Amino acid sequence: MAASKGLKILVGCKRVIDYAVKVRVKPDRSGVVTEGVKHSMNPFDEIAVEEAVRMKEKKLAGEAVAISVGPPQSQETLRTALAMGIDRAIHVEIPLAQLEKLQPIHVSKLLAKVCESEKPDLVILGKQAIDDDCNQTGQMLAALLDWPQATFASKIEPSQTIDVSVPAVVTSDLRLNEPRYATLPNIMKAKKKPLAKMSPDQLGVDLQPRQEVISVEDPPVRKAGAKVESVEDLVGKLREKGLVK
Amino acid sequence: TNFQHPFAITNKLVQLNGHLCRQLCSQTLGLIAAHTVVCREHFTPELALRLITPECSLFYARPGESSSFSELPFSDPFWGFYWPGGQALARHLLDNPGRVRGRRVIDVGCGCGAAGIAALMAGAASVIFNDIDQVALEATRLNLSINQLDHADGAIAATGQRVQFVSDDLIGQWPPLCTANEQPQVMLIGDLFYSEEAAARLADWALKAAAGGRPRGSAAAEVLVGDPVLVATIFAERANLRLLARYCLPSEFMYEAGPGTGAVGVYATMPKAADTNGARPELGTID
Repeated sequence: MAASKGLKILVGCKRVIDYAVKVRVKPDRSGVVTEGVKHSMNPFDEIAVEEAVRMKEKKLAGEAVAISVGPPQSQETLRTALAMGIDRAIHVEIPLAQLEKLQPIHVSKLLAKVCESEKPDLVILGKQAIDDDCNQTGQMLAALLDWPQATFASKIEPSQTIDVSVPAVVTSDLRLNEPRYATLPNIMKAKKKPLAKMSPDQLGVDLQPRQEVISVEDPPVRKAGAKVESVEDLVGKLREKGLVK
Repeated sequence: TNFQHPFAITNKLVQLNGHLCRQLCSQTLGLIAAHTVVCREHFTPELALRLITPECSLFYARPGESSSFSELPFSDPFWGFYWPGGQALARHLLDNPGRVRGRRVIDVGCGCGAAGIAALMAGAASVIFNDIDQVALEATRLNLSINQLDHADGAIAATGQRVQFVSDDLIGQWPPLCTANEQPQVMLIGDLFYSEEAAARLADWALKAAAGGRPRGSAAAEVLVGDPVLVATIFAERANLRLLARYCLPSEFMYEAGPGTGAVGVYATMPKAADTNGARPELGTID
Protein backbone atom coordinates (compact mmCIF):
# COMPACT_ATOMS: atom_id res chain seq x y z
CA MET A 1 0.00 0.00 0.00
CA ALA A 2 1.20 3.52 -0.67
CA ALA A 3 3.35 4.74 2.19
CA SER A 4 1.98 7.70 4.11
CA LYS A 5 3.99 10.86 3.87
CA GLY A 6 4.95 12.62 7.08
CA LEU A 7 6.05 11.41 10.45
CA LYS A 8 5.04 8.09 11.93
CA ILE A 9 3.85 8.63 15.49
CA LEU A 10 3.51 6.07 18.28
CA VAL A 11 1.26 7.16 21.16
CA GLY A 12 1.17 5.46 24.54
CA CYS A 13 -2.16 5.07 26.36
CA LYS A 14 -2.67 3.74 29.85
CA ARG A 15 -5.93 2.52 31.34
CA VAL A 16 -6.27 4.07 34.80
CA ILE A 17 -8.97 4.57 37.41
CA ASP A 18 -11.09 7.49 36.21
CA TYR A 19 -10.00 10.86 37.63
CA ALA A 20 -13.43 11.49 39.17
CA VAL A 21 -13.55 8.27 41.19
CA LYS A 22 -12.97 8.41 44.95
CA VAL A 23 -10.18 5.88 45.33
CA ARG A 24 -10.41 3.43 48.24
CA VAL A 25 -7.59 1.48 49.85
CA LYS A 26 -8.20 -2.27 50.04
CA PRO A 27 -8.91 -3.62 53.56
CA ASP A 28 -5.68 -5.68 53.46
CA ARG A 29 -3.75 -2.51 52.50
CA SER A 30 -2.07 -4.26 49.59
CA GLY A 31 -3.34 -1.73 47.10
CA VAL A 32 -6.42 0.18 46.01
CA VAL A 33 -9.82 -1.19 44.98
CA THR A 34 -10.05 -1.58 41.20
CA GLU A 35 -12.82 -4.19 40.79
CA GLY A 36 -16.02 -2.67 39.47
CA VAL A 37 -14.49 0.80 39.50
CA LYS A 38 -14.79 3.07 36.49
CA HIS A 39 -11.62 3.24 34.41
CA SER A 40 -10.70 5.46 31.49
CA MET A 41 -7.72 6.64 29.48
CA ASN A 42 -5.11 8.53 31.48
CA PRO A 43 -5.94 12.22 30.85
CA PHE A 44 -2.37 13.07 29.84
CA ASP A 45 -2.50 10.24 27.31
CA GLU A 46 -5.74 11.66 25.86
CA ILE A 47 -3.77 14.83 25.27
CA ALA A 48 -1.01 12.80 23.60
CA VAL A 49 -3.57 11.06 21.35
CA GLU A 50 -5.19 14.39 20.48
CA GLU A 51 -1.81 15.85 19.54
CA ALA A 52 -1.03 12.93 17.25
CA VAL A 53 -4.43 13.21 15.55
CA ARG A 54 -3.98 16.98 15.08
CA MET A 55 -0.55 16.38 13.52
CA LYS A 56 -2.21 13.96 11.10
CA GLU A 57 -4.90 16.53 10.26
CA LYS A 58 -2.17 19.12 9.61
CA LYS A 59 -0.41 16.55 7.39
CA LEU A 60 2.68 16.67 9.62
CA ALA A 61 2.12 13.02 10.44
CA GLY A 62 1.19 10.27 8.02
CA GLU A 63 0.36 7.47 10.39
CA ALA A 64 -0.53 7.43 14.09
CA VAL A 65 -0.40 4.17 16.04
CA ALA A 66 -1.63 3.78 19.63
CA ILE A 67 -0.12 1.29 22.05
CA SER A 68 -1.27 0.19 25.48
CA VAL A 69 0.42 -2.13 27.97
CA GLY A 70 -2.18 -3.63 30.27
CA PRO A 71 -4.98 -6.09 30.95
CA PRO A 72 -7.57 -7.26 28.40
CA GLN A 73 -9.71 -4.19 29.14
CA SER A 74 -6.95 -1.98 27.76
CA GLN A 75 -8.47 -2.80 24.38
CA GLU A 76 -11.33 -0.46 25.22
CA THR A 77 -8.83 2.29 25.93
CA LEU A 78 -7.29 1.62 22.52
CA ARG A 79 -10.72 1.71 20.83
CA THR A 80 -11.17 5.17 22.35
CA ALA A 81 -7.88 6.24 20.78
CA LEU A 82 -8.98 4.77 17.45
CA ALA A 83 -12.28 6.63 17.73
CA MET A 84 -10.38 9.90 18.21
CA GLY A 85 -8.60 9.32 14.90
CA ILE A 86 -5.65 7.00 15.49
CA ASP A 87 -5.11 4.62 12.56
CA ARG A 88 -4.34 1.35 14.28
CA ALA A 89 -3.56 -0.01 17.71
CA ILE A 90 -1.26 -2.44 19.47
CA HIS A 91 -2.15 -4.09 22.75
CA VAL A 92 0.61 -5.65 24.85
CA GLU A 93 -1.42 -7.83 27.13
CA ILE A 94 -0.17 -8.31 30.69
CA PRO A 95 -1.45 -11.33 32.64
CA LEU A 96 -3.43 -10.33 35.74
CA ALA A 97 -0.90 -11.91 38.09
CA GLN A 98 1.82 -9.56 36.86
CA LEU A 99 -0.32 -6.49 36.46
CA GLU A 100 -0.05 -5.07 39.96
CA LYS A 101 3.71 -5.31 39.95
CA LEU A 102 4.17 -3.66 36.56
CA GLN A 103 6.47 -0.65 36.74
CA PRO A 104 7.63 2.04 34.30
CA ILE A 105 10.90 0.16 33.85
CA HIS A 106 8.97 -2.78 32.35
CA VAL A 107 6.66 -0.60 30.28
CA SER A 108 9.53 1.40 28.83
CA LYS A 109 11.36 -1.80 27.89
CA LEU A 110 8.24 -3.15 26.17
CA LEU A 111 7.76 0.13 24.32
CA ALA A 112 11.41 0.14 23.30
CA LYS A 113 11.03 -3.33 21.79
CA VAL A 114 7.96 -2.23 19.85
CA CYS A 115 9.85 0.85 18.64
CA GLU A 116 12.49 -1.47 17.18
CA SER A 117 9.94 -3.05 14.86
CA GLU A 118 7.53 -0.14 14.32
CA LYS A 119 10.33 2.44 13.83
CA PRO A 120 8.29 5.55 14.69
CA ASP A 121 9.72 9.02 14.15
CA LEU A 122 8.06 10.39 17.25
CA VAL A 123 6.78 8.75 20.43
CA ILE A 124 4.31 10.83 22.41
CA LEU A 125 3.44 9.73 25.94
CA GLY A 126 1.49 11.39 28.70
CA LYS A 127 3.92 13.02 31.14
CA GLN A 128 2.69 10.78 33.97
CA ALA A 129 -0.18 8.48 34.86
CA ILE A 130 -2.68 9.73 37.40
CA ASP A 131 -2.67 6.45 39.30
CA ASP A 132 1.00 6.19 40.19
CA ASP A 133 2.23 9.70 39.22
CA CYS A 134 5.57 8.08 38.34
CA ASN A 135 6.55 10.45 35.53
CA GLN A 136 9.26 8.00 34.40
CA THR A 137 8.21 6.02 31.35
CA GLY A 138 8.95 8.69 28.75
CA GLN A 139 12.35 9.47 30.18
CA MET A 140 13.29 5.81 30.56
CA LEU A 141 12.15 5.04 27.03
CA ALA A 142 14.28 7.82 25.58
CA ALA A 143 17.29 6.54 27.51
CA LEU A 144 16.75 2.93 26.35
CA LEU A 145 16.44 4.04 22.73
CA ASP A 146 19.16 6.66 23.09
CA TRP A 147 16.77 9.21 21.60
CA PRO A 148 16.41 12.87 22.56
CA GLN A 149 13.52 13.67 24.87
CA ALA A 150 11.32 16.71 25.30
CA THR A 151 9.26 16.30 28.45
CA PHE A 152 6.28 18.34 29.74
CA ALA A 153 5.71 19.68 26.23
CA SER A 154 3.15 22.46 25.98
CA LYS A 155 3.54 22.86 22.23
CA ILE A 156 4.78 20.71 19.37
CA GLU A 157 5.49 22.22 15.99
CA PRO A 158 8.09 21.90 13.24
CA SER A 159 10.60 24.72 13.29
CA GLN A 160 13.45 26.07 11.25
CA THR A 161 15.94 25.56 14.05
CA ILE A 162 15.69 21.95 15.01
CA ASP A 163 15.46 21.88 18.76
CA VAL A 164 14.73 18.19 18.98
CA SER A 165 15.56 16.03 16.02
CA VAL A 166 13.49 12.99 15.25
CA PRO A 167 13.32 10.23 16.22
CA ALA A 168 12.45 11.56 19.65
CA VAL A 169 10.28 10.98 22.71
CA VAL A 170 7.91 13.72 23.81
CA THR A 171 5.77 13.70 26.91
CA SER A 172 2.63 15.80 26.97
CA ASP A 173 1.65 18.36 29.56
CA LEU A 174 -1.78 19.67 30.40
CA ARG A 175 -1.63 22.82 28.29
CA LEU A 176 -0.66 21.04 25.06
CA ASN A 177 -4.25 20.77 23.81
CA GLU A 178 -7.84 19.98 24.72
CA PRO A 179 -8.77 16.49 23.57
CA ARG A 180 -11.83 15.94 21.41
CA TYR A 181 -14.78 13.73 22.34
CA ALA A 182 -15.28 10.91 19.85
CA THR A 183 -18.68 10.89 18.18
CA LEU A 184 -20.66 7.68 17.61
CA PRO A 185 -19.80 7.35 13.88
CA ASN A 186 -16.11 7.49 14.84
CA ILE A 187 -16.65 4.94 17.59
CA MET A 188 -18.31 2.67 15.00
CA LYS A 189 -15.45 3.21 12.53
CA ALA A 190 -12.94 2.44 15.28
CA LYS A 191 -14.44 -1.03 15.73
CA LYS A 192 -13.19 -1.92 12.25
CA LYS A 193 -9.69 -0.52 12.64
CA PRO A 194 -6.86 -3.00 13.20
CA LEU A 195 -5.92 -3.87 16.79
CA ALA A 196 -2.95 -6.22 17.12
CA LYS A 197 -2.20 -8.19 20.26
CA MET A 198 1.22 -9.12 21.62
CA SER A 199 2.64 -10.60 24.79
CA PRO A 200 5.70 -9.55 26.82
CA ASP A 201 7.18 -13.00 26.03
CA GLN A 202 6.93 -12.32 22.32
CA LEU A 203 8.81 -9.07 22.91
CA GLY A 204 11.39 -10.81 25.07
CA VAL A 205 10.92 -8.55 28.07
CA ASP A 206 11.15 -9.88 31.60
CA LEU A 207 8.51 -8.52 33.98
CA GLN A 208 10.34 -9.39 37.19
CA PRO A 209 9.34 -6.73 39.72
CA ARG A 210 12.12 -4.50 41.03
CA GLN A 211 10.08 -3.15 43.90
CA GLU A 212 7.84 -4.62 46.52
CA VAL A 213 4.84 -2.75 47.83
CA ILE A 214 4.87 -3.09 51.63
CA SER A 215 1.58 -1.37 52.30
CA VAL A 216 -0.82 1.18 50.89
CA GLU A 217 -2.45 3.66 53.25
CA ASP A 218 -4.85 6.52 53.11
CA PRO A 219 -3.18 9.88 53.55
CA PRO A 220 -3.35 10.87 57.25
CA VAL A 221 -6.47 12.76 58.25
CA ARG A 222 -5.62 16.41 58.67
CA LYS A 223 -5.95 17.51 62.24
CA ALA A 224 -7.89 20.69 62.84
CA GLY A 225 -5.84 23.81 63.57
CA ALA A 226 -6.63 26.53 66.09
CA LYS A 227 -7.49 30.12 65.26
CA VAL A 228 -6.20 32.97 67.37
CA GLU A 229 -7.54 36.52 67.66
CA SER A 230 -4.33 38.51 68.02
CA VAL A 231 -0.59 38.45 67.66
CA GLU A 232 -0.21 38.26 71.45
CA ASP A 233 -2.41 35.16 71.52
CA LEU A 234 -0.31 33.64 68.75
CA VAL A 235 2.93 34.24 70.65
CA GLY A 236 1.32 32.88 73.82
CA LYS A 237 0.26 29.66 72.06
CA LEU A 238 3.70 29.23 70.49
CA ARG A 239 5.30 29.62 73.96
CA GLU A 240 2.87 27.03 75.38
CA LYS A 241 4.00 24.52 72.82
CA GLY A 242 7.63 25.30 73.57
CA LEU A 243 8.20 26.52 70.06
CA VAL A 244 9.48 29.95 71.09
CA LYS A 245 11.17 31.13 74.26
CA THR B 1 -48.84 9.14 2.46
CA ASN B 2 -47.96 5.48 2.45
CA PHE B 3 -45.88 5.83 5.58
CA GLN B 4 -46.92 3.37 8.26
CA HIS B 5 -46.45 4.57 11.80
CA PRO B 6 -44.03 2.16 13.52
CA PHE B 7 -46.45 1.41 16.32
CA ALA B 8 -49.06 0.27 13.84
CA ILE B 9 -46.83 -2.56 12.64
CA THR B 10 -47.59 -5.84 14.34
CA ASN B 11 -45.74 -9.09 14.53
CA LYS B 12 -45.97 -11.10 11.35
CA LEU B 13 -44.45 -14.31 10.27
CA VAL B 14 -42.98 -14.05 6.81
CA GLN B 15 -41.76 -17.05 4.87
CA LEU B 16 -38.70 -16.44 2.75
CA ASN B 17 -37.19 -19.21 0.64
CA GLY B 18 -37.91 -21.79 3.30
CA HIS B 19 -36.58 -19.62 6.12
CA LEU B 20 -38.95 -18.33 8.72
CA CYS B 21 -38.23 -14.69 9.26
CA ARG B 22 -40.05 -12.96 12.05
CA GLN B 23 -40.60 -9.29 11.66
CA LEU B 24 -39.40 -7.59 14.80
CA CYS B 25 -41.99 -6.09 17.03
CA SER B 26 -42.94 -2.44 17.13
CA GLN B 27 -40.58 -1.81 20.05
CA THR B 28 -37.46 -1.96 17.87
CA LEU B 29 -39.01 0.25 15.21
CA GLY B 30 -40.02 2.71 17.90
CA LEU B 31 -36.46 2.77 19.26
CA ILE B 32 -35.02 3.33 15.80
CA ALA B 33 -37.47 6.17 15.18
CA ALA B 34 -36.68 7.71 18.58
CA HIS B 35 -32.91 7.79 18.00
CA THR B 36 -32.79 8.88 14.36
CA VAL B 37 -34.05 11.70 12.19
CA VAL B 38 -35.17 11.59 8.57
CA CYS B 39 -32.21 12.94 6.63
CA ARG B 40 -31.54 13.90 3.01
CA GLU B 41 -28.23 15.67 3.66
CA HIS B 42 -25.97 13.21 1.93
CA PHE B 43 -24.79 12.27 -1.53
CA THR B 44 -28.20 10.94 -2.62
CA PRO B 45 -30.84 13.47 -1.52
CA GLU B 46 -33.37 11.54 -3.60
CA LEU B 47 -33.44 9.08 -0.69
CA ALA B 48 -34.86 9.96 2.70
CA LEU B 49 -33.07 7.90 5.34
CA ARG B 50 -33.46 7.55 9.09
CA LEU B 51 -29.95 8.32 10.37
CA ILE B 52 -28.22 9.17 13.65
CA THR B 53 -27.16 12.76 12.98
CA PRO B 54 -25.60 15.45 15.21
CA GLU B 55 -29.20 16.41 16.08
CA CYS B 56 -29.58 13.08 17.89
CA SER B 57 -28.31 12.53 21.44
CA LEU B 58 -26.94 9.11 20.46
CA PHE B 59 -24.45 10.85 18.12
CA TYR B 60 -22.56 12.08 21.18
CA ALA B 61 -22.50 8.79 23.13
CA ARG B 62 -19.21 8.71 24.97
CA PRO B 63 -16.64 5.99 24.32
CA GLY B 64 -15.09 4.27 27.29
CA GLU B 65 -15.82 1.28 29.42
CA SER B 66 -18.51 -1.11 28.21
CA SER B 67 -20.59 -0.25 31.27
CA SER B 68 -21.29 3.19 29.83
CA PHE B 69 -22.36 1.51 26.62
CA SER B 70 -24.99 -0.55 28.39
CA GLU B 71 -27.14 2.57 28.29
CA LEU B 72 -27.05 2.45 24.49
CA PRO B 73 -30.27 0.96 23.17
CA PHE B 74 -28.43 -0.74 20.30
CA SER B 75 -25.18 -2.59 19.99
CA ASP B 76 -23.18 -1.60 16.90
CA PRO B 77 -25.67 0.70 15.14
CA PHE B 78 -23.80 0.70 11.81
CA TRP B 79 -27.22 1.07 10.15
CA GLY B 80 -27.56 4.50 11.76
CA PHE B 81 -24.97 6.00 9.44
CA TYR B 82 -24.72 6.35 5.67
CA TRP B 83 -21.19 5.22 5.01
CA PRO B 84 -19.28 6.64 2.01
CA GLY B 85 -19.09 3.43 -0.04
CA GLY B 86 -22.84 2.97 0.19
CA GLN B 87 -23.37 6.60 -0.81
CA ALA B 88 -21.21 6.15 -3.90
CA LEU B 89 -22.99 2.90 -4.84
CA ALA B 90 -26.42 4.43 -4.46
CA ARG B 91 -25.39 7.52 -6.44
CA HIS B 92 -24.03 5.31 -9.21
CA LEU B 93 -27.22 3.26 -9.44
CA LEU B 94 -29.45 6.33 -9.49
CA ASP B 95 -27.31 7.85 -12.25
CA ASN B 96 -26.90 4.58 -14.18
CA PRO B 97 -30.20 2.75 -13.66
CA GLY B 98 -29.45 0.44 -16.60
CA ARG B 99 -27.04 -1.47 -14.38
CA VAL B 100 -29.90 -2.92 -12.35
CA ARG B 101 -33.11 -2.27 -14.23
CA GLY B 102 -35.13 -5.48 -14.46
CA ARG B 103 -32.43 -7.47 -12.66
CA ARG B 104 -32.30 -9.38 -9.38
CA VAL B 105 -30.13 -7.60 -6.83
CA ILE B 106 -28.66 -8.41 -3.42
CA ASP B 107 -27.47 -5.67 -1.02
CA VAL B 108 -24.82 -7.31 1.20
CA GLY B 109 -24.29 -5.77 4.63
CA CYS B 110 -27.15 -3.45 3.71
CA GLY B 111 -27.13 -1.39 6.94
CA CYS B 112 -29.73 1.32 6.41
CA GLY B 113 -30.63 -0.29 3.06
CA ALA B 114 -29.73 2.72 0.93
CA ALA B 115 -27.98 0.86 -1.90
CA GLY B 116 -30.83 -1.64 -2.28
CA ILE B 117 -33.40 1.15 -2.10
CA ALA B 118 -31.52 3.01 -4.84
CA ALA B 119 -31.63 -0.21 -6.88
CA LEU B 120 -35.40 -0.37 -6.45
CA MET B 121 -35.70 3.28 -7.50
CA ALA B 122 -33.57 2.44 -10.55
CA GLY B 123 -36.01 -0.32 -11.49
CA ALA B 124 -34.49 -3.54 -10.16
CA ALA B 125 -36.84 -6.53 -10.44
CA SER B 126 -36.06 -7.67 -6.90
CA VAL B 127 -33.77 -6.83 -4.00
CA ILE B 128 -32.55 -9.08 -1.19
CA PHE B 129 -31.57 -6.93 1.79
CA ASN B 130 -28.92 -8.88 3.70
CA ASP B 131 -27.45 -7.89 7.07
CA ILE B 132 -26.46 -10.06 10.04
CA ASP B 133 -27.94 -7.38 12.32
CA GLN B 134 -31.72 -7.80 12.61
CA VAL B 135 -32.02 -4.16 13.67
CA ALA B 136 -30.46 -3.11 10.35
CA LEU B 137 -33.20 -5.03 8.55
CA GLU B 138 -35.80 -3.19 10.64
CA ALA B 139 -34.16 0.14 9.83
CA THR B 140 -34.24 -0.88 6.15
CA ARG B 141 -37.97 -1.63 6.39
CA LEU B 142 -38.49 1.79 7.92
CA ASN B 143 -36.45 3.44 5.17
CA LEU B 144 -38.45 1.65 2.49
CA SER B 145 -41.60 3.07 4.04
CA ILE B 146 -40.39 6.65 4.19
CA ASN B 147 -39.46 6.44 0.50
CA GLN B 148 -42.98 5.31 -0.47
CA LEU B 149 -41.78 1.75 -1.05
CA ASP B 150 -44.09 0.03 1.43
CA HIS B 151 -44.17 -3.67 0.96
CA ALA B 152 -46.40 -6.56 1.89
CA ASP B 153 -45.91 -10.29 1.41
CA GLY B 154 -42.48 -9.81 -0.11
CA ALA B 155 -43.39 -7.23 -2.70
CA ILE B 156 -43.48 -3.44 -3.03
CA ALA B 157 -47.18 -2.66 -3.02
CA ALA B 158 -46.98 0.13 -5.58
CA THR B 159 -44.75 -1.55 -8.20
CA GLY B 160 -44.73 -5.30 -7.61
CA GLN B 161 -40.92 -5.36 -7.23
CA ARG B 162 -39.96 -8.19 -4.86
CA VAL B 163 -38.09 -7.66 -1.61
CA GLN B 164 -36.61 -10.10 0.87
CA PHE B 165 -34.85 -9.62 4.21
CA VAL B 166 -32.16 -12.13 5.14
CA SER B 167 -30.05 -12.03 8.30
CA ASP B 168 -27.78 -15.00 7.63
CA ASP B 169 -24.07 -14.44 6.97
CA LEU B 170 -24.03 -15.21 3.26
CA ILE B 171 -20.42 -14.30 2.55
CA GLY B 172 -18.65 -17.23 0.95
CA GLN B 173 -21.70 -19.01 -0.39
CA TRP B 174 -22.69 -18.91 -4.01
CA PRO B 175 -25.50 -18.86 -4.86
CA PRO B 176 -26.62 -17.30 -1.58
CA LEU B 177 -29.53 -19.31 -0.24
CA CYS B 178 -31.66 -19.08 -3.34
CA THR B 179 -33.27 -21.40 -5.75
CA ALA B 180 -31.63 -21.33 -9.17
CA ASN B 181 -33.97 -18.85 -10.85
CA GLU B 182 -33.89 -16.51 -7.88
CA GLN B 183 -30.09 -16.20 -7.99
CA PRO B 184 -29.01 -12.57 -7.75
CA GLN B 185 -27.60 -11.02 -10.90
CA VAL B 186 -26.05 -8.01 -9.20
CA MET B 187 -24.30 -7.96 -5.82
CA LEU B 188 -23.92 -4.62 -4.03
CA ILE B 189 -21.14 -4.49 -1.42
CA GLY B 190 -20.72 -1.15 0.34
CA ASP B 191 -18.07 -0.33 2.97
CA LEU B 192 -17.16 -3.92 3.75
CA PHE B 193 -13.55 -3.97 2.51
CA TYR B 194 -12.23 -2.45 5.73
CA SER B 195 -9.56 -4.95 6.78
CA GLU B 196 -7.29 -7.63 5.36
CA GLU B 197 -9.45 -10.34 6.87
CA ALA B 198 -12.78 -8.94 5.69
CA ALA B 199 -11.42 -8.17 2.25
CA ALA B 200 -9.98 -11.66 1.82
CA ARG B 201 -13.38 -13.28 2.48
CA LEU B 202 -15.18 -10.84 0.24
CA ALA B 203 -12.64 -11.00 -2.56
CA ASP B 204 -12.87 -14.77 -2.77
CA TRP B 205 -16.66 -14.61 -2.68
CA ALA B 206 -16.78 -11.92 -5.32
CA LEU B 207 -14.59 -14.01 -7.61
CA LYS B 208 -16.84 -17.03 -7.03
CA ALA B 209 -19.95 -15.00 -7.80
CA ALA B 210 -18.39 -13.49 -10.89
CA ALA B 211 -17.46 -16.95 -12.17
CA GLY B 212 -20.95 -18.31 -11.61
CA GLY B 213 -19.89 -20.79 -8.97
CA ARG B 214 -21.99 -23.67 -10.17
CA PRO B 215 -21.07 -26.51 -12.44
CA ARG B 216 -24.13 -26.26 -14.65
CA GLY B 217 -23.35 -22.92 -16.24
CA SER B 218 -25.50 -20.74 -14.09
CA ALA B 219 -25.26 -17.07 -14.76
CA ALA B 220 -22.42 -15.12 -13.31
CA ALA B 221 -23.27 -12.14 -11.18
CA GLU B 222 -21.89 -8.67 -11.46
CA VAL B 223 -20.33 -7.51 -8.22
CA LEU B 224 -20.38 -3.79 -7.49
CA VAL B 225 -18.21 -2.58 -4.62
CA GLY B 226 -18.37 0.87 -3.06
CA ASP B 227 -15.50 1.98 -0.81
CA PRO B 228 -13.19 4.93 -0.25
CA VAL B 229 -10.46 4.79 -2.90
CA LEU B 230 -7.65 4.50 -0.37
CA VAL B 231 -9.30 1.44 1.15
CA ALA B 232 -10.36 -0.34 -2.03
CA THR B 233 -7.08 0.09 -3.87
CA ILE B 234 -5.41 -2.30 -1.43
CA PHE B 235 -7.81 -5.08 -2.32
CA ALA B 236 -8.74 -4.24 -5.87
CA GLU B 237 -6.33 -6.62 -7.48
CA ARG B 238 -7.17 -9.61 -5.34
CA ALA B 239 -10.88 -9.30 -6.07
CA ASN B 240 -10.29 -8.49 -9.73
CA LEU B 241 -11.97 -5.12 -9.27
CA ARG B 242 -11.87 -2.36 -11.81
CA LEU B 243 -12.86 1.23 -11.15
CA LEU B 244 -16.20 2.17 -12.73
CA ALA B 245 -16.66 5.59 -11.26
CA ARG B 246 -14.98 7.90 -8.81
CA TYR B 247 -16.81 10.40 -6.65
CA CYS B 248 -15.64 13.23 -4.44
CA LEU B 249 -17.57 13.35 -1.19
CA PRO B 250 -17.29 16.29 1.21
CA SER B 251 -15.59 15.22 4.43
CA GLU B 252 -18.72 15.67 6.54
CA PHE B 253 -20.51 13.09 4.36
CA MET B 254 -17.63 10.76 5.24
CA TYR B 255 -17.89 11.40 8.99
CA GLU B 256 -14.40 12.92 8.94
CA ALA B 257 -13.29 15.93 10.91
CA GLY B 258 -11.75 18.89 9.12
CA PRO B 259 -12.41 20.38 5.69
CA GLY B 260 -11.78 18.81 2.32
CA THR B 261 -13.14 15.93 0.32
CA GLY B 262 -12.51 12.25 0.05
CA ALA B 263 -12.40 10.05 -3.04
CA VAL B 264 -14.85 7.16 -3.08
CA GLY B 265 -14.96 4.59 -5.83
CA VAL B 266 -17.48 2.22 -7.31
CA TYR B 267 -15.73 -0.90 -8.56
CA ALA B 268 -16.94 -3.85 -10.55
CA THR B 269 -15.72 -7.40 -10.79
CA MET B 270 -16.14 -8.56 -14.29
CA PRO B 271 -16.88 -12.26 -14.94
CA LYS B 272 -14.07 -14.16 -16.65
CA ALA B 273 -15.97 -14.37 -19.94
CA ALA B 274 -16.28 -10.60 -20.11
CA ASP B 275 -15.75 -8.66 -23.29
CA THR B 276 -12.54 -6.68 -22.76
CA ASN B 277 -14.19 -3.52 -24.10
CA GLY B 278 -15.98 -3.47 -20.77
CA ALA B 279 -19.41 -4.03 -22.28
CA ARG B 280 -21.88 -5.68 -19.99
CA PRO B 281 -21.80 -9.44 -20.49
CA GLU B 282 -24.90 -11.26 -21.69
CA LEU B 283 -26.92 -12.72 -18.90
CA GLY B 284 -26.56 -16.47 -19.04
CA THR B 285 -29.45 -18.85 -18.82
CA ILE B 286 -29.91 -21.23 -15.97
CA ASP B 287 -30.63 -24.91 -16.67
